Amino acid sequence: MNITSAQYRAKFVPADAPTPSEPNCAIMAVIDGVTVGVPLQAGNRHYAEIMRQVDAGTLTIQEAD
Amino acid sequence: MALSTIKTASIANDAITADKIINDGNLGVRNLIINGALTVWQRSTSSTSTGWGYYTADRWNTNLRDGAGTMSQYDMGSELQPFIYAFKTAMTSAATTSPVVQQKIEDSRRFKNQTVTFSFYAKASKAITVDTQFDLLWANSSNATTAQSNSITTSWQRFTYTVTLPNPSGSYNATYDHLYCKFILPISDTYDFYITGVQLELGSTATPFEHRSYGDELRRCQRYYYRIASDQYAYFATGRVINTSDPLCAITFPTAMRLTPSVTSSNTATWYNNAGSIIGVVNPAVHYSSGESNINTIDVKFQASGTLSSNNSPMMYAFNPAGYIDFDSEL
Repeated sequence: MNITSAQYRAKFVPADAPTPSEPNCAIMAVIDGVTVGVPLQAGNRHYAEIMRQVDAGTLTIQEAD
Repeated sequence: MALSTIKTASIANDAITADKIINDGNLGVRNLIINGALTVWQRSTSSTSTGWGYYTADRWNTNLRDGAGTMSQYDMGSELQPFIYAFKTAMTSAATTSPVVQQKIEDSRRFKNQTVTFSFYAKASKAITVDTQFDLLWANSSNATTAQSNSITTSWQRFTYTVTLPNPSGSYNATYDHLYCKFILPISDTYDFYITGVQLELGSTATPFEHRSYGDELRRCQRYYYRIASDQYAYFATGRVINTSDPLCAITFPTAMRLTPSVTSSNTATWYNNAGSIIGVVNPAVHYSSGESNINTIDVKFQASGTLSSNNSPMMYAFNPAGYIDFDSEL
């Protein structure tokens, strides 16, 4: 997979809901030229590849807007 | 006694054993390959993409390596009935590393140290040798079997072989440990290679190919990949405007997916609400919203190009007939 960018996506939290322990819900990544919403879940092949490239130092995930 | 005179009462209770039934291949749900008859093609019926990926037939993962060619749906016509389609790999520029057509089968625990029988129908545009091989991932490590060479000719043949899969030590890793079932194609050559009727079954007997209905096979495929293809003007989701710009829609999957899926959408899809107002080009706005997504349903937040009324409930439809949303939990 050719991953050219990755950025966390913050959760939408309803006004009356408690603050979640994990502020992000996904990574928006451009993979092989296509924007992909990737869940933060081990076993997801896109997430696994993103984290592999992060560990290898070849990819940085940008913070959520 | 003539066979036609044999009645149920003529057969002793213990005359037909489970072994005989199994050996005669009369049991259903034997084939552990999904889409072995190549009936389901949700993504596309043709692709020239190289690199590892899922491009055409559901569940089939490919890599043309440094070669070039086309993977496509082959209409069987009157060949090898009742098969309808085959998977065609047309190598038009030779590769120096073996191209691979493979299926990853979920959960190695089902296969560790098991005897399995693999069968498939194949032909080629000329005589070539195609290897088949299993790789049982265990503890996130590869455990490949010895490759089996198959002499493919220009006529359809059924190939079968039985192998006992590896029995590695270590602990099962649910994230990574699956069984890879590979067709390893020739290098330094150009050719067309066709397969259909691919079957993997436990035990040492190759039984007749298990033909499943399209609906049955589609549901099996949708555990790993689901596409909402545009049926222009057909509503596919109802949402709620969570602020003045972003409708949030829950989409329920037709079957439980393997894991919470990744989401993509076509660049060409433009999505509208039921008032006829443009909601916006989905890509790259489609994404998870609340962390409530799971294997059964997903929250997708669209991005409107204009102002919407908060808490309104838009019904979403695609204006562009080429639009789609993909949900992917492939291995």
